[in-house]
Amino acid sequence: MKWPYHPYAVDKSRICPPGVVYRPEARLCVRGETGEAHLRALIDTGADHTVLPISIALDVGAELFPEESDAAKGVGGHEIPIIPGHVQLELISDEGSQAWSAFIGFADFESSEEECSILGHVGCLEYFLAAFDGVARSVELTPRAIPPNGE
Amino acid sequence: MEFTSQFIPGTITMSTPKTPPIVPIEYAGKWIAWDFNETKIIASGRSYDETRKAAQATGEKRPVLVKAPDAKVRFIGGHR
Repeated sequence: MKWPYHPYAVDKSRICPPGVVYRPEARLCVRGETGEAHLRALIDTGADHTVLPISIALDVGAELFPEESDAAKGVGGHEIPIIPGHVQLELISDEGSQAWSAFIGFADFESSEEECSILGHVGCLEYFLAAFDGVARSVELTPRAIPPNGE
Repeated sequence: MEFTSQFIPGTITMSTPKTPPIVPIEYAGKWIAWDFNETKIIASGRSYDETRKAAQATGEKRPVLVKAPDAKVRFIGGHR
């Protein structure tokens, strides 16, 4: 499954002269007990875990395990609470799609401005070969491993 | 929902632009909702909930939501 990098206009600066950032994002459908949500999520090989905003878990009716809450933080960032949740994920591209079920983290961000959707190793990238083509500005995920039975 | 111990053939098909358009800076830091085939932005907002509701109000049943990067603050890492 292959996706083009998605371009976003930002302020021009010394480290971003063109004023555009290109993000490797994958099209994703998240399914819970009561619904589904379609997203584009950042493919982040530096993230240990797959994390989505808690608002998405509530939207789709994900099975949540708040008694097993964890914490996460980005580079130099503050900790945010992470609630494990069980959902079905489906990566979708123009060539096809692939679905599996997983326990992922749902982040309770302090403000909606901090919300982000991250496809990290646990729950997603651990099952794929990831190829980033910075010249063509495209990213490809190829299924490599069978997702384990979640326990 | 039962936990599936294997990949499941996907059920969704789509046809999106090969070269996505540049998201204008006015959307920086906001949630954006695209139509299902990602040909146009149909709504935006400060939160996922606000944006999803605004998108569905346009009649799009399966809006595609994404958070645009901030215009001034560079994103350099995910969660650890």
